[in-house]
Amino acid sequence: MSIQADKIACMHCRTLNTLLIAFLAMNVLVACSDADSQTRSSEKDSKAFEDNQPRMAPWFKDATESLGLAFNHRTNKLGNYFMPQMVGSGAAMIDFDSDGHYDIYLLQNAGPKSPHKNQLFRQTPSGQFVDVSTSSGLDVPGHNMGVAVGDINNDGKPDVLITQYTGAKLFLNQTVDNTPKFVDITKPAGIDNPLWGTSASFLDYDRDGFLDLAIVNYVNYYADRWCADSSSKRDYCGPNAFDGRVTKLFRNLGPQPDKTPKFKDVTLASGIGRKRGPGLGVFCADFNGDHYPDIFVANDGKPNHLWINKKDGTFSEQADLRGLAANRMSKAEADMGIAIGDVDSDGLFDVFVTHLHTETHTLWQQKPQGIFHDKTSTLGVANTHWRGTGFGTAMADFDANGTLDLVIANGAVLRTKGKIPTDIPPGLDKFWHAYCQQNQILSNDGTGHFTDISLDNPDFSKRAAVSRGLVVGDFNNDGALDMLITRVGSPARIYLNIAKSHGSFLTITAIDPKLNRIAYGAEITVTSGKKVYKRIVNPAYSYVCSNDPRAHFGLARAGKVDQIRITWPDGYIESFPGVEANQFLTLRRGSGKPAQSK
Amino acid sequence: MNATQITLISAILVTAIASGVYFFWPGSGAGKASPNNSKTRVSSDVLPPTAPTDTVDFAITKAFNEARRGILKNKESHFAWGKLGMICIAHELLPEAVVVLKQAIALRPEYPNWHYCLALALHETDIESALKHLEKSAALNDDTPPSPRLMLAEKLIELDRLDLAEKHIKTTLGKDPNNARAYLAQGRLLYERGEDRAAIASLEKSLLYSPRRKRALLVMAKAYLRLGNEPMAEKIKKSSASLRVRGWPDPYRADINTHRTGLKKLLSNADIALGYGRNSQAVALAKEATRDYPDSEHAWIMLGRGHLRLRNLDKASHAFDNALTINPRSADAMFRRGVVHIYKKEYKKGELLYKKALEIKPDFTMAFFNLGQCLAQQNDFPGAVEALQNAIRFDPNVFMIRLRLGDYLLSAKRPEDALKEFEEALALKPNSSEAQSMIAKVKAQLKKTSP
Repeated sequence: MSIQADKIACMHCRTLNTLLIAFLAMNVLVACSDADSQTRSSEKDSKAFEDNQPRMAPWFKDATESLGLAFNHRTNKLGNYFMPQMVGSGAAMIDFDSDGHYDIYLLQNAGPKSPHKNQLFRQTPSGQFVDVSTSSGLDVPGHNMGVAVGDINNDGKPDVLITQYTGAKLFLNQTVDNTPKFVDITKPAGIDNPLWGTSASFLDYDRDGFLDLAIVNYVNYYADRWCADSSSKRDYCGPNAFDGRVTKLFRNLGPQPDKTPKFKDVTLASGIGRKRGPGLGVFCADFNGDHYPDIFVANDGKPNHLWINKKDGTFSEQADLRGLAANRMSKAEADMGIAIGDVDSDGLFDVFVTHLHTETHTLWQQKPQGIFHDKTSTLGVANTHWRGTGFGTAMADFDANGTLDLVIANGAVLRTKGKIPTDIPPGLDKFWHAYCQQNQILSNDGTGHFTDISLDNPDFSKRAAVSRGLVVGDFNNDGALDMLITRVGSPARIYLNIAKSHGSFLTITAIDPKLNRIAYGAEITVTSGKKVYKRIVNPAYSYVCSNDPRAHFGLARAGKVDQIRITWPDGYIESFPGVEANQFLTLRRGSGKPAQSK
Repeated sequence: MNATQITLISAILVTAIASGVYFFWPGSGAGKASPNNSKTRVSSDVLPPTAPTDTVDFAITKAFNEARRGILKNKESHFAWGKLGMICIAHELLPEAVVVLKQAIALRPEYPNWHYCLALALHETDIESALKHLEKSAALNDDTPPSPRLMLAEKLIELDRLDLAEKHIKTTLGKDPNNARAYLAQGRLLYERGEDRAAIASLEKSLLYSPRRKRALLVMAKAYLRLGNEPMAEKIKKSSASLRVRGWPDPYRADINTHRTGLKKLLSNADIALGYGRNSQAVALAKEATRDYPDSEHAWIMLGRGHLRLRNLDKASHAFDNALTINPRSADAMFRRGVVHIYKKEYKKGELLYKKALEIKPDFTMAFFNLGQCLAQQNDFPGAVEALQNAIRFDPNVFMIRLRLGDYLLSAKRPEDALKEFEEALALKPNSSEAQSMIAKVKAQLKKTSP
């Protein structure tokens, strides 16, 4: 056999040359995309909050200490600009012991040899969070990034996957009673993701009843790469300094004879491995109305990918065609976190993705089904008190007025050159001060138009931090959605919903009894009078986080709903009778009446 | 006109010519305004900002300070202020750019260039102000060049102010009926309005008049999809896949780019030269970079790349070694140094270097690939197979890795496994004659050996 050494060597040079070009381009991009300055209003000082004439009572109060949530996020040694530090770590809302009180799992980012490990907090019936990490099996160190929650073996217990800088770990939940027990089954289960994983999601793409797994990967990172801001001062690299990576798809083959769940890497066979991208966010749902789950990947600084399920085990990438690849000017932005919801109540979900503070976050409206249009300016999303570099995000009806609001967790990725915030988390290393930004809340007026109400929510928005993950869910089961924020180098915060204008609600858990678990991928439509509300059951949205898997509906003043329809993940549609508002409802497949697709 | 006024005009002209930023575009407004107006509008007490203290690149600081001195010599020269403004934009010193360009405009409000430059500095953070300056620039320059008005129209489309955008697009097309960028903007606007057929017609005109096709094709594909013609949408999308997004010609921006300086500019130009095969020019630029920035590993790596292209292997080694002296953990430099070893057929040395690079960066796909090659050349085919299988763990979709892995598996006497890899390679590149012939060869071999 003859090996053409020259040819091969040259080929590799070309590949690496691309990398160096990317480095050069990146410096320009970084400089123009996130070079904070005094002309860039990315921060409101404390005085703005004090001077604000409140239009409404705050929606949230910080309850971290009172609920006993003691988690301080750590990174490895600062100053070497190790990029995974900047990407941050996520969190999950998980009822690991199935007691109805949702627990919290928080990730650390201090490296594999660090004493700082991920922490699991069990929620007691009184609503306190107790650290039960030790011996849980989930207390692992590492550069931990994202977390996904799903029942991979249909035993009714939620299992956990974490992504890491060059790794992923899958934990099988074997909890009995209230004592957490998770077993690392990564290797026997066939999960091999040696890449830099970020967000991840469970989905049943082949509709066989077992949850498959999509792991989004970021970039081919070179830790020795030197990156600098516009003034040549060293800072974190941006994504364009490196090649993107493929999203990995693992097909769940179901439990094997020894009862261990087994996955097969179908990244290439499914077609998903054909395109690379610096992926950060993911959301899996039916984007084209054929009742098969598709995969939307938010890429940082490159066009997004929308993998449309071809129903034969393969996917076709259609983000360009369907309008989700870039903004309306065909410009790919720094896409990070993803929020999904029907902001204009037309029965079709819309897509919101967070970006750098020098860009605008993008809100794509879906109309007609399967086609998305950038309506950022029209819907008021760009008109905010300040701009932030957004990561975690969610659409949720926090005041239960029947429309979806928006929340954004902010934190810069490059040093702020202008005024550095002074109201920052106590104890935060000085290194991070120049990266701190304030979070935001935008209220939906009912037509899909948003108004920034951050100044009315000082607990959530006044203090600046390097926020990353954002989890939404009803932690205290009071019918109102709460939030959890993860922050680089500082404690996670939990914000309880105290909105006084709160309307009525309905929270639905959709269960498929044959599968013995929550039906990820189900679409729930609730009708109340002329209003139609739609939710998708999938906790994997936002950024590197797993949220409340229950579907929450704000119903404004309605005392009841007239009808509930569930499109189950295999396309079967079922209708359930109306119920009184203000209750938690569990709907099981087979207990309703078959219905026709509308 | 009195003596003071004459002196003032002379000073402005001298400064402008000396600074080399005098513009000659028709309708640019140059020479139209009376300096008397400027004099009454601006306070001579205003001082230009100083160079940012944290700027590390001496060349940028030098350019900044020179331009600043030009202002101090003649604080009423709008050219001097404008030049500093362009230097600031070229190096993303946007807060400073805003300050000095405002002063340039105060001195010469009729000059369109400074309005456009200020809009460039502001558009990411203060879009409303940027729009005003774009409008002003477009009005002052009589649409020559049309970039201010078209940027204005594009920003208005982005902001969903379609009627206003349409007005500006029509103005441009009225003066320049073959303007591809204007047709693209019109196509976008019509698509946003839901007028898909009209959008396609405009986009076709854009394609007719410009080789910059990618964005027009993408909008066109979306319009066809919305019209229900999915096959056409797919076809257009595929035809755009290999195209790159290219910017529109813009003399204002080109002028700003002439003010770029420093290490990044040198390396970028060297890289472009390499891309065009102008290897000697790349080496000259990289040499300049290593002379001015001897502590930059990237400058040395660029020099090594140039020499490698010219097959100056010893000089390439020297450059990569220098890079490794500066940063002993540079996996990049190790990789390229390893390539020199391969060229020199020093496979054992290459193997050791790639193994070292992989200790530093365990997910270095291409280091695995070249390690495989070094091992194969030493007849260690099982080792070569393992190296390439590792490469595939990180990059499953690289044709050449699959093909070479098939080769190594065949050499390791594993034809069935080799066949799978050749088939994977063919799936990645369905027209590859190399993969096809290898599949045929292995199949024939297997047929021969089967009972």
